[in-house]
Amino acid sequence: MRVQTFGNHRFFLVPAVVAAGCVGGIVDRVSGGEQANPGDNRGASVTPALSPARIWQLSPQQYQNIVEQAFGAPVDLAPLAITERHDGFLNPAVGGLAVHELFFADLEDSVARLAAEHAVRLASRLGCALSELDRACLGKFTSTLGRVLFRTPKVDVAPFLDLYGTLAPKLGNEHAFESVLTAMMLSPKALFRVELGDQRTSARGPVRLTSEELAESLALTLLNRAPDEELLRLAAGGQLDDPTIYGQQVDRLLGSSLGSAGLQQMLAEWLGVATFGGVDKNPALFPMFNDDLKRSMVSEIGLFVDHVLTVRRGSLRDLLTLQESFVDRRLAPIYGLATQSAQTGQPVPLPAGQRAGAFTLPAALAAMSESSLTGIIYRGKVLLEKLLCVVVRPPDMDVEFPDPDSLGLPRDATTRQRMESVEKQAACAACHVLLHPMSFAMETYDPIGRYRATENGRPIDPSGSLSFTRTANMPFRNAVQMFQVLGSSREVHECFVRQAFRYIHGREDDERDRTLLAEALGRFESDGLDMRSLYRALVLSDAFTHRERR
Amino acid sequence: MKLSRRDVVARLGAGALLAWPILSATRPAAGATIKKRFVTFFSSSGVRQDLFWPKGTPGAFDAGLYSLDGTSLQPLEPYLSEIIIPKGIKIDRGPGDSHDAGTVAALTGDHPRSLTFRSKPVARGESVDHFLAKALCKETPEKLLVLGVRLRVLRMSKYTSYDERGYEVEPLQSPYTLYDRVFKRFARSCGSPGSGTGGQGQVWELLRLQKRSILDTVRVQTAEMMRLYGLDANERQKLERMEEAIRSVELRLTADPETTPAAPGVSGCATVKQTMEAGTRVSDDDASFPKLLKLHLDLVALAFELDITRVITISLSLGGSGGAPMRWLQWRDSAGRSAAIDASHHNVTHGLERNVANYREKLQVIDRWNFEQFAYLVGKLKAIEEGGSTALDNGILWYATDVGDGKSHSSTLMPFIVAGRAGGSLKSGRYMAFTDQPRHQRLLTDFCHRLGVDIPEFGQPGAGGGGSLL
Repeated sequence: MRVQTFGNHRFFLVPAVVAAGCVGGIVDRVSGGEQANPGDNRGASVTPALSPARIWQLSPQQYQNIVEQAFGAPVDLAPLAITERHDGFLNPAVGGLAVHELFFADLEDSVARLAAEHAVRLASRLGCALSELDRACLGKFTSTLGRVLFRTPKVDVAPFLDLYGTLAPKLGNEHAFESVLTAMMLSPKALFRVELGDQRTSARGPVRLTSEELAESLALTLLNRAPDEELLRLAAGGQLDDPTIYGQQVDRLLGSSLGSAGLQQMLAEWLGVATFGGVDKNPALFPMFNDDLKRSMVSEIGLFVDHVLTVRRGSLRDLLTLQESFVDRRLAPIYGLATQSAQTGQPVPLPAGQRAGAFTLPAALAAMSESSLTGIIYRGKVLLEKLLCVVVRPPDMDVEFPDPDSLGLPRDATTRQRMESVEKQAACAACHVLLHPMSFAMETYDPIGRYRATENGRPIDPSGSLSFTRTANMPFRNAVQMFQVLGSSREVHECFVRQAFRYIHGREDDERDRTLLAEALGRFESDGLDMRSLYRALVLSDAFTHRERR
Repeated sequence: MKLSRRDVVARLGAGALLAWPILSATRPAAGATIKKRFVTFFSSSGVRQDLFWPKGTPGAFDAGLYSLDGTSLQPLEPYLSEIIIPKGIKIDRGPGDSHDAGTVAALTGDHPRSLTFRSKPVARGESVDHFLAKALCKETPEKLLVLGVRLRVLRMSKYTSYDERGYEVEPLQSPYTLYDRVFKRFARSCGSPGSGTGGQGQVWELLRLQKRSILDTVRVQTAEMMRLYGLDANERQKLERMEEAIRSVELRLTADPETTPAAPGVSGCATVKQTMEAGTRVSDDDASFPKLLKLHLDLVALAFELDITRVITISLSLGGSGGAPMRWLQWRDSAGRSAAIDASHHNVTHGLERNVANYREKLQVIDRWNFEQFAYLVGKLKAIEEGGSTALDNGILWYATDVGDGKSHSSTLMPFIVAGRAGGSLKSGRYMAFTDQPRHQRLLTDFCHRLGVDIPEFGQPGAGGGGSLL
């Protein structure tokens, strides 16, 4: 087996089957058509990685939150698609796609409509009558609005005053005012966050983000929205340059009511439920899977995550193993429960031996299933990636899939029985032995997340072991035990640290991030696997506050 | 003249404020030159090979050497003289998931640069549709249009088309967005030519001024960011793309749609306009797949009738897991009972391995349905008359896919179909058989040549040479 160092810890990065070319792991990355080898730099001294100086598009959720924050009212920006990310997270990756022209046109329409809807209400904040709106009055207003929309204490309002000056005589004050709102929302300063650092400093080495950039990055990461006034004030005075003050602000934000909003969004994406509206099931098989039930499922997993973060001290282990949840009237039949507890706000115990943690809640299960089928292999693939950071590559070209018929299996064989035949084929086994234990364990849940003990009348065998891991290799009888094993596994804790890092930094981790990840893991473990504490460690790290010098 | 919201609503309807129509570019007068076009109709997962190829001997259609009897191509029977069926082409897609790699390779003519989205861009260069659009769409207001139907899953096989940098072009999936954004301004004249009035023209002038001023403000800020931030190439391209997006919206702000001339002899225009502007819309779900596809195909034809663009790619399925279950199709078992096909094309190709019984019978139904859709588009293009010839005569319509056979993911015997005569440079009505397995880059290169774009080869260097294929 291949052993890699991870700071002070040693761990098995990927199993022996790597030799068969199955696993990409963190390194499923191709340059010039060649698969990078994960072990190549082992033991070599490497410079700690810093993200490059960059601009970074806001996620649709952040953009929506910020417009709401600026307007002081809920806004409906759907269907806003600024950009998408392809590694399981929605938060736009740094190297990601940029604005598509027709999406930009949609965005333009969308914000023009918002501006028209909110203009009169926002005009009441002007401090002057709309009919008497002049540059001075508008200047104050745009400066205040820009602090939120552009997330900076220094707003250059001149372009917007000029726009107003051009349009007001021709269109009237109201339409000119609307146009200003539209232009501000469409501005690249609204759409992109900036992480350049003060590149003019004479010193060599990494560049610390400016006070303003730190305020912006911190607020977006922790709160998923724009900095509040206190943060902006400190940013304006350059005070966040002082690590002590910066640290105090981290703790203030984490302790605030919205302090876990960024983490909650990351967890929703990690659990695969952030875009649950798009999940569809075969109506002939699952007529009950309607919008009401979907809303209940999303609401349940949200309450569950919130409960873990607030009542269960943010424990990752509890997130993965807790056997209680918030079952409302619509979800009760999914669980086979008669009770309902949503009104009380207290979790109820789930049927014994059937559920453990967020990945076994109906929303997460439905999201990782197909429309009519369980999506057996896909589930294994997703869980390997999310929990163990093992990326199984898709099969190479020209793979012959065997018909179980030809393998002498009965027609009503369980899916597990049929898939086990694949392990006998050398070409398939390398990857499928990694996928199968998790895939098989999850077979006790149907495509909408109901527990089931049989398939085609035959008992389902969910037992197995993740024998290719070092710290999660205890045999388990079912998914509940599997998640208990996983919840206590250092490999899972390490992987979660990496997932959080990727989410916060918008890029993959690599060998050069190992020291930082090991330190964060140490803090995470010594704080009882508190995910909030992990977030704290990550935003306090130099990797968060510094960028490469250009 | 001051413009109040009430004025706008009264004159143009509430929709004018919500979905601000893009104003017209001037359509070129119908010229004497041939309008060469290129359409790719992409349907993943290959075909049942045993039912695809014509019966008989390769040769010319009019020699009566082959027929489509008993094949899944039967819906194309009326168009036998318009199509070439080239047997024996191999898709050169390189390693990786054959659906992902096959989809990237099909139009780019090259292996993917990256096998996952973790490393972008995924393609090595632009796709042939993107390339051809630059040559063929010089006179049209729109360039390449990339359309898709219910491509719900984010994976490489979602993307057929790539720009010069190898970044994917996002397919437009809502026919309504497509219509509102691209067609509406031209379709205004359909059915009611010359309805424009001077007063509204003035309103449009002001609306245009407003929109252009907003865009100018945003564009200046974008350029300023590029200048001040000293970004490297990767960071810069994000703002460059934003700038391009702003410019593309501005480009559509050139003329008053009220004075856009009526399109003479545009038969389908009024019908499409009526359908697209009707109060009830086809819902965006898997069950509506056939309806959404038809709306798209009608818009493809209308785009050519109105000469909005000359290059279009439409993808109607996603290779690999995640495609739409084809429940709108019925298959019959041996006892004659019919039932809905409750799996995606991809899953059906894998049969029992994906829990789909009787997959061969179901594939027969799916393949036939796919070719009915393709035949519908062939018929639509043939019905567009253009000075003695038809839109089909003047272009190339390519049926493309990612794999030869869905079950085995084979790369050989690609079931491609080429319809049209490329303005006379292509002799249609043939069944061809190649024994040397020519790589598909040669086909792409040939497309370029037939459409009058002279390049040594398209795609992977060294792969597309060897002379004309068709």
